[in-house]
Amino acid sequence: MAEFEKILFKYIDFPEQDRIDTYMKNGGYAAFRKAVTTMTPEEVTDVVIKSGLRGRGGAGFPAGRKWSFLPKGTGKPVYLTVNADESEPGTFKDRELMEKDPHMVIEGTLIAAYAIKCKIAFIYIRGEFTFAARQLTRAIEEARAKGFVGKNISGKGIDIDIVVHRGGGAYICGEETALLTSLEGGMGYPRVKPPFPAVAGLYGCPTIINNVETLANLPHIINRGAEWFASIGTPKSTGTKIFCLSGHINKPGNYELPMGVPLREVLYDYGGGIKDGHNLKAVIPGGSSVPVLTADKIDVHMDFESLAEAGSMLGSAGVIVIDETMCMVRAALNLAQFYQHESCGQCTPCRQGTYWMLVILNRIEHGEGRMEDLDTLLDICDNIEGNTICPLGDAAVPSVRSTIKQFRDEYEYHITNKACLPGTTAPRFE
Amino acid sequence: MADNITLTIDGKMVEVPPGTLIVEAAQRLGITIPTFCYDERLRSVGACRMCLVEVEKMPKLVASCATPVAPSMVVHTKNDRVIKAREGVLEFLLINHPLDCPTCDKGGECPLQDLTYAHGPAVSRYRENKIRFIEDINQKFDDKPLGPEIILNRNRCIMCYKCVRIVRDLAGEADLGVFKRGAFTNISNLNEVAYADEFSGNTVEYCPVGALLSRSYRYSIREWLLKKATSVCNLCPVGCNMNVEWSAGRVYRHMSRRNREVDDGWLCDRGRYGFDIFSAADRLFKPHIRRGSTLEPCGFDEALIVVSKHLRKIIDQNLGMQVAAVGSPTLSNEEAYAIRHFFDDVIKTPEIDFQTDMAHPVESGIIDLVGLDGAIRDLERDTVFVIVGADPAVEQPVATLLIKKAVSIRNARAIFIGSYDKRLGHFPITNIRIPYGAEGHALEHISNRLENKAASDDIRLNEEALNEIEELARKGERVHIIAGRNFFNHPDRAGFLAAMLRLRKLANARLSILPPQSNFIGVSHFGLFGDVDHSFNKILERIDSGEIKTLFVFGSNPVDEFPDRKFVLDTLKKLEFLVVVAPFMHPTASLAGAVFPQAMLPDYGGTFTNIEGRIQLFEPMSDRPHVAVRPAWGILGEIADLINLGRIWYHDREIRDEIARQLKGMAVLAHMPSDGFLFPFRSQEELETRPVNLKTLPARKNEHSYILQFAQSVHHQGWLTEKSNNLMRISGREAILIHPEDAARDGIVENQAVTVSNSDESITVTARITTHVNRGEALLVNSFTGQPANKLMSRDSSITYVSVKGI
Ligand SMILES: Cc1cc2nc3c(=O)[nH]c(=O)nc-3n(C[C@H](O)[C@H](O)[C@H](O)COP(=O)(O)O)c2cc1C
Ligand code: SF4
Ligand code: SF4
Ligand code: FES
Repeated sequence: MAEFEKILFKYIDFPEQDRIDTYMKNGGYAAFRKAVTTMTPEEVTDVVIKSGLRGRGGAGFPAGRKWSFLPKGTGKPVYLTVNADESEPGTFKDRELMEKDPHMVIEGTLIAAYAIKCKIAFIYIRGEFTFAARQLTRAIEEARAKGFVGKNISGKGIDIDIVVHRGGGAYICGEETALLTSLEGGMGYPRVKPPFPAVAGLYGCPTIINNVETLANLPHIINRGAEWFASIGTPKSTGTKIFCLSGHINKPGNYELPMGVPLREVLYDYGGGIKDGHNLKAVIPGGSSVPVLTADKIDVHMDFESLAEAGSMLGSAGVIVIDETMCMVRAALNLAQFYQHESCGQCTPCRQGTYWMLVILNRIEHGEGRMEDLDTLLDICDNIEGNTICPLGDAAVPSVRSTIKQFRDEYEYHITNKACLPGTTAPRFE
Repeated sequence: MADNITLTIDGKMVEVPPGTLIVEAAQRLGITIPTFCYDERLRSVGACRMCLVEVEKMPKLVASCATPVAPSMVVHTKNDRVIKAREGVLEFLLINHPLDCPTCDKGGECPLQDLTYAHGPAVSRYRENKIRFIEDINQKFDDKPLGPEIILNRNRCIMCYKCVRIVRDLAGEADLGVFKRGAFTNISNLNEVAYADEFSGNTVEYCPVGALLSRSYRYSIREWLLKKATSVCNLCPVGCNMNVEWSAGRVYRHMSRRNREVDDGWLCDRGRYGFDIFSAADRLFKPHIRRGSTLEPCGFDEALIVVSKHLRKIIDQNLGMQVAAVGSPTLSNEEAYAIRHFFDDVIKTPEIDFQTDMAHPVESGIIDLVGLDGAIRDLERDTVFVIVGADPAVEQPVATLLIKKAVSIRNARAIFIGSYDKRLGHFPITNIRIPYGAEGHALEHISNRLENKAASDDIRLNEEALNEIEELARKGERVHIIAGRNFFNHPDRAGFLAAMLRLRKLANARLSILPPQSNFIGVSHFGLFGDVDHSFNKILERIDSGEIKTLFVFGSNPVDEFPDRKFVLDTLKKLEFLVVVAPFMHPTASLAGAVFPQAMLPDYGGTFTNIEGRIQLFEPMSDRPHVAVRPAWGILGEIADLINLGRIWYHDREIRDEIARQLKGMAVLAHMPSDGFLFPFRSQEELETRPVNLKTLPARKNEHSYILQFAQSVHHQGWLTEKSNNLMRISGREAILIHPEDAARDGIVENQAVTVSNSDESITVTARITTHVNRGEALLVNSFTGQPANKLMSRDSSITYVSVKGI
């Protein structure tokens, strides 16, 4: 377990870190001040591009590059929307940041808003996050009192306001275009891209959507420079990452670690090993939407490239640990239920495909499976993937496909014996 | 203009304008990409995913209905990857679809059936229970009424959102929406409010499955048993193109026959569902002649002989001047021409008019102005609509869709000037409220501003709205002044017209005076418009004085229409001989000596002229189930034969040939193009401005009197639409709208039955209390012949004063 300096979580448990005075004593708002007083918006964007910071919401798109796609001179306002809808099963990092260090999120938001010349930023926060929403709202008011939010910031004629909007608690509203539709007051339906939000987003205006954790990195990048940030992690996945450990693990929770840390280290050095002395069966390394890795793959490094190479994805870095007592059919069914329930129903493959997968899995789990169901399930996966409006359809596929591919014996046992593989009974996620 | 874009689709190059969607570019090459949710007239949603295609260099398949072309794109619409995805989508659409095609109305004309036939799986891998929305366990079908006419079977819905888009974007209403998520997503009406907007039938026609159904058609016949007659709607002057679909002499439905210039494939519910007037139970199919005090059915020849003998006598004695004829603005061009020709040349009488619903006939100068300035399609390019004395959403529904489009997509402004508030779906409009009859005054306020003249203080108006119009007009926006039905019965028509002409000039505007009746322009230009001296009102006076002894009525119903019921009834009774050609035994027909059953669409063929002057052909159905019904020219032709003048016409085409020979610029009529042709009917000279002399505004007689006004609805227009069970199911009952202050003073509460009366007569209706009308004015909506409003009117006054009392 190598020693390294935490960035996002440095003060996470510091007493009263959520108060602006403490936050500023610990160096807060210096970066924003530095940006507005000594840097042009273009320079801020440049630093972020150089830092190699990639989006922490799941897709890993380089943040600075995204900003640079904003069309110039449209005459329309530019909006920043902070994606705080965090609903991916197994993911709970943004919540901790917002609850315990809300000013870091606000400062990051202000820096991004300054860089893209946005006057009103919206934080779209998951409906269930009542406390986090309160923390953010209070933080904004404190920052306003100090003159960081509002009109004519630092006497520089810069206006930035931040509005907290609470969602209705739908997973789909974390998808960036559904988020925008919902923010506008519509039903949370994703939009066909192109046009991308950077061109036509909120109210048809150029809009940038960034994840909470992505933005929380900005104050540190501005304070300490792009080179410093890029020196952490791997060349293509720079910086640190908050990994959310859950499932059959002794010490579940959020761990900020450098990108590229081996999964084995995450599980055993930080997570304290598998619960109750059981053996590891599988890990879902990036939130429920990515393929499972079998236990023999845990030497993989936790960064965008290495995980892709290993046949999975970093996603939102929700590391879900599954031990030998878990029935994989039941695990897949559990996730299929989630995706069926969360599909917005707008496009055919996702609307019908998630339902069809669910009913088949249900049948198999309840001892009424047929052998040909497995090929049908795989074919349904093929017919959903890539053919939908938004990536929710794609996200519903990996849990089903990868469990069938890697644990086909468990499925076949279920079908033949109408029961779980001995020793694997029910999910024990607590 | 940006340069065209060249791309390759399935190995073929095509050049298209930027912004073209891939699916449209493919269409140009004759490549049809299967679609469900795509409709070029509606905003793309890319939801069904049926139209997925591969674009080289793009990682995923893209929805060709939602993706615009880009330079050098290489598109594949038929490769294995595309076909696999397409088959997958079809299979997904079918898993929860009930496949109850044998009992589904859409069977035979169903895109889901057709595309499954072309691309779909022949066997199903789906072994699970289908999701079923059970509406009523006691019902045979899972049908859920959304409103009086529209019924939804949610099991069949494939979530293409066409209905929702038609309601929201086209009609501008908010009555249908999407509920729930995932596989349980479904369409329903919001808040259980009955769904019955003016365009609801289009959702049924364009639903790609049998999810949306019309009560009037549901489970009545298989689609392939229907025959189609090319037709044109006769219930308003837009003249939407449609097919009348019939079998064994019965009309089952009207479906649109898309004409991009006129209707773009939409029909309003009046036109669509009014089809059952044709087969109404009390429709007249037999001639009747009077024997003593009763009218008795008789053979066609018998009735003809009675009328012919009478006319022979008149001709022999040279008494043609004692005969008069009146038509109706719903007759065909050919009928109008035939009536004019017959009475002018054969009977030799000048006493001919074309409508019976006005006491103050329009002057010839005005007739030459009536109609749309420009083409219907031009409406979507106007940027400011000043709509005065008109409610186009009711009077010309489908043309109004273009005003809605201009307002909703191009941010055009629609400003209504009138004595009661109008709406344009939920699209933003401004209502400038004026006292009854003050249309001219309001327009003068605007004109004075444009000429920097002081405003008079005759009426007080919404300054903000006036400022806006002034500013827009000064900015050189495309202003369009539209007047309508209220112009024709306006108490100061001359002043109103002069004021419109002045504003037209100052704002460099277009000016349209839109007639409310279907063939007003055709009938008046093809013969029936005479001069004011021989108006129906004058004809009645001459009947009263005994100068006219014989009257022919074609298609109109003066007893229910003329704004003085007592006078018209008393006068018609003085006739020696009244001949009425009517589709129903209405009160006018009941007075007649001889009644001929009138042909209605699609009994006969002919042409109508719409508001833009487009002459359009409609054809009869090939069966002739009603042997004795004739159009006006059919009856007059046979009479001519019997009075030894030789039969004049056997077919509508002969009349068109004759018009083509006789009237300048009408040669095309001999070979009617299928999408009609535009005939330049509007006189330019009449557009000259003239001095504006406004009459003083009518005042309230006493504090209990109301000035009575009338409004119709899309679903109900009078004695004819009253015969449609379909429309009556949708339409509301009659009501009188009064202002809350008046209601409080007269002790009237919402929904109370009230009598509306003048000194002699009264009718009973329901009161509605609303600030949408002025104090001292009462608005009678949806008047039914059972409570005839013309009882309260007098031909001597264009203003009707009434009192309203609770019962
Ligand atoms: C179904 C679905 C749910 C998502 N939920 C979230 C979420 O809760 N939070 C989030 O930041 N991004 C979420 N995303 C990703 C966003 O669409 C988007 O990529 C991200 O917010 C961009 O921010 P970033 O570039 O900073 O990562 C979701 C995507 C999908 C398809
Ligand atoms: S993929 Fe699923 S969630 Fe995304 S638009 Fe389609 S139905 Fe909605
Ligand atoms: S009811 Fe018909 S038109 Fe409406 S969404 Fe369903 S399939 Fe489409
Ligand atoms: S037709 Fe293109 S997605 Fe439906």
